[in-house]
Amino acid sequence: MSGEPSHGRGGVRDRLLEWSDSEVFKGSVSLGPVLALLTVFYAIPVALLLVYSVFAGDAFESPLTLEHFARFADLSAVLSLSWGDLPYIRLLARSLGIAVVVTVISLAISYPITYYLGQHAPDRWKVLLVMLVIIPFWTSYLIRTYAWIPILSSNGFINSALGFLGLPALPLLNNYVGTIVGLVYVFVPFTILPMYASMDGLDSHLIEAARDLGASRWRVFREVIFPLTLPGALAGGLFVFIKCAAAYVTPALLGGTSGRMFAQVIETQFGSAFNWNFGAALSVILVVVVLGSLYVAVRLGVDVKRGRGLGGGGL
Amino acid sequence: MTSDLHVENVTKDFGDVRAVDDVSFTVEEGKFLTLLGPSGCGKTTTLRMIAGFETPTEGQVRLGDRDVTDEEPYRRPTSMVFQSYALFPHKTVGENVGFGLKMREVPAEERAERVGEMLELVELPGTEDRAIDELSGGQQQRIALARALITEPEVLLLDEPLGALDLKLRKNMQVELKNLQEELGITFVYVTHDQEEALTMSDEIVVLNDGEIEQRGTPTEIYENPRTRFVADFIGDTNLLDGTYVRNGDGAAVRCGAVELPVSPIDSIADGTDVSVSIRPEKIRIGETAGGVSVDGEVVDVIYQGNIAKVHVDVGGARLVSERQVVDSIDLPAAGSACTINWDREHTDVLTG
Repeated sequence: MSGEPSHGRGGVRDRLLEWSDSEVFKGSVSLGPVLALLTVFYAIPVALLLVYSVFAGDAFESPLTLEHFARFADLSAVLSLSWGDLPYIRLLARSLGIAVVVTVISLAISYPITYYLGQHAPDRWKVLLVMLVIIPFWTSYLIRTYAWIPILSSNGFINSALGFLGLPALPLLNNYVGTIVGLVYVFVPFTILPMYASMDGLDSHLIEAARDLGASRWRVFREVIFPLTLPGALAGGLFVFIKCAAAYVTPALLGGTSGRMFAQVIETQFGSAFNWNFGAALSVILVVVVLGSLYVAVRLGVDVKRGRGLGGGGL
Repeated sequence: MTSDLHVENVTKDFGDVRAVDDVSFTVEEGKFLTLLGPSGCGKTTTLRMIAGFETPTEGQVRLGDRDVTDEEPYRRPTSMVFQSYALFPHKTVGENVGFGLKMREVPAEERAERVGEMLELVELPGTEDRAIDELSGGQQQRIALARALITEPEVLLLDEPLGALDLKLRKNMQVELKNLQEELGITFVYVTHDQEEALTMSDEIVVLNDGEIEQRGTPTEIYENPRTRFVADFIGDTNLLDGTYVRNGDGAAVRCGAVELPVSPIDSIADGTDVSVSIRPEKIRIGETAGGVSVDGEVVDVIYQGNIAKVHVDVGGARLVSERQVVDSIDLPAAGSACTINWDREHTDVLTG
């Protein structure tokens, strides 16, 4: 007979208490719900996409194939660089290009705004001003995007104003301009908030010290403000890039044909074309490309932390 | 050409608040001047106006004959050492120290050489490649100093640079800073709220309170002859008694409750004026009656602090503290015993402000 049962209830209780104090227990209790949620709503769907992308038809019932990936990147067309035969790659490239442009514009808008908010705005106004950035979220994304149609359309607000001034009308809606404007509008708060945190934490004496030591305004930005707020800019920029690369609603409403983006093609495959396998393959490709860019950006961020890379700048 | 620093009738308003009110002083080239006062007295604002980070609402800042009131900070031959050091956390020690030269487009080779010399000067040679957060507070302080000095300023501005250091390190740095200033022969304008620091280091002290100058003078003048109640109270320990100035014949006295303290007559003070009297504790002797002012009282408290002892004496309701060196603790009077205290008349400062 082992000694264990002889401890009786006390022994069980002690072991329960000990176990409840262990890292494993604490970890699974605090992370468990999140893990469960992510498993059901993220890991399983992504796994299903992966599965669908490598079958010819119904999963596990039809033969394994890479034909969907070959359809995306036709090897002979890739090797002969005949872009005309690679519509999906061109569309992906355009989507990523639009995402980059939107990210850059969002950051460019955020720098002066957050610099003012973090460095110069009086304390009692800060909360209110940051609220102004957040308030648009109280309105539905869809309604806010629809609201751009009367502003951008050919007889809309901007073009009426241009006509009134005797200037020619600009094609702003149903093309990539509409997509970019709509996406920047929606995503600027996502670069402002993390960059505001960085700017607010930036010791204003560092800027004064740089000025005192002879730095022009541009050098102050290049040498002090930019490298020290880069973590915030990377966090915000990354988020916007990822969201934009997979944007669906904005290009669908404002983009027309030239503003068409990758997510819309995926939707077409699942919807009207009813080719789930190809749609799944395109989704997998998008996820891989976005994760790849995430990896690159994080590596850049790590280098910045070490005082090298983008932010460093030698002696 | 001399480059004395002149601050002339400078006033600074922030909205409705007057931070600095009509402040004027001159610092001779190569002197160490301290702006001393409690927090919120306007000393840092004054320093920032000299540096060019703030523009005076009224008044002028001149260096020699040159009016720099509206000049950008980097166009002035001044450099600032910040309270928080403001070292660039993402740059190495060498990059921090060499920053001013880099902004002046000094070639990399010369820059490296001068950075090396500067680090030698602040006794941290060979630390060029270290990260800022690897340094202790005292070392960061030296790097901040090196960074400010490398551009060869005519005036170095220091905003409570030792405030974040522990007491022992602070005392060492006080002496080192003073030596460095004498060695380099450049003007230092130093801001602190620590009166002991000011007395230790300065050639001259400007005492500020509420945006106005209370008194300016050498450390000895400020300590020995405070002109206002504020200065007497803020600098060093003192016995402050409120009373009435009375003339009697050729002499004068200040009546504090039941006691009358004889003082040297001051023509500018009218009979019956409310005044304060300041007597430094170390000026008051116990058990002696020869010369000066003698008053009888009773010992109420003896506080032994090792090298010194403070004896509290009740004199007709007023309490005076006498401070004396302890050579032998057996000499100390006992609480409750009667005693006579005595001090020289010129050590009684009559204050009207």
